[in-house]
Amino acid sequence: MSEGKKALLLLARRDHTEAMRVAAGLTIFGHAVRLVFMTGPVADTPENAEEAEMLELSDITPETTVADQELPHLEPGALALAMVEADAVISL
Amino acid sequence: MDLLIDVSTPDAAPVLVPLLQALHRRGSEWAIFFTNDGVKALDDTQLAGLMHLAEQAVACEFSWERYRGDAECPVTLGSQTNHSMLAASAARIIGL
Repeated sequence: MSEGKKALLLLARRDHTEAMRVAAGLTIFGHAVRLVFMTGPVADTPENAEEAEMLELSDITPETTVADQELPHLEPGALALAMVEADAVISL
Repeated sequence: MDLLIDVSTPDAAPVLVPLLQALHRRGSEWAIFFTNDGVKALDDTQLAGLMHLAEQAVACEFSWERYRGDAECPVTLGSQTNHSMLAASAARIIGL
């Protein structure tokens, strides 16, 4: 992993809202960030809607490992590939 | 910098203390960033006492205010901007 701008994979496992906040923040220094929601659907809350707007401003299109969501779905194989391709995997 | 450690869980101290001691013994350069309720890990006095060994030790100000209010923070208060900057300068990143 080289110094400078990185390709980061952020796994949103424990707290989806916080993961969105961290993902948007990580783009500030030019990192390419992929955000993957895991463990369950993203709750429909005003706080999450606000963070989703921040993701949009940060050019992050979130993905999910949860089936039947209105987001791009990552199968286990695709998730494994994303982990291999990333410079760093951050799990929140 | 060799390593950035992201702390986003409050019960990270039992793992972090021996890890940071080992990093110090081998002469590694590391930074640490506390976010969300991971800031609660700083309640552990042994962990807080190791923070002076870090190249940078930063807690997300938003998270600190959320979980600890006006209490004094044992590390530098910063933002997700600091996190992004630390990620840029770290050779490796791990999360706890």
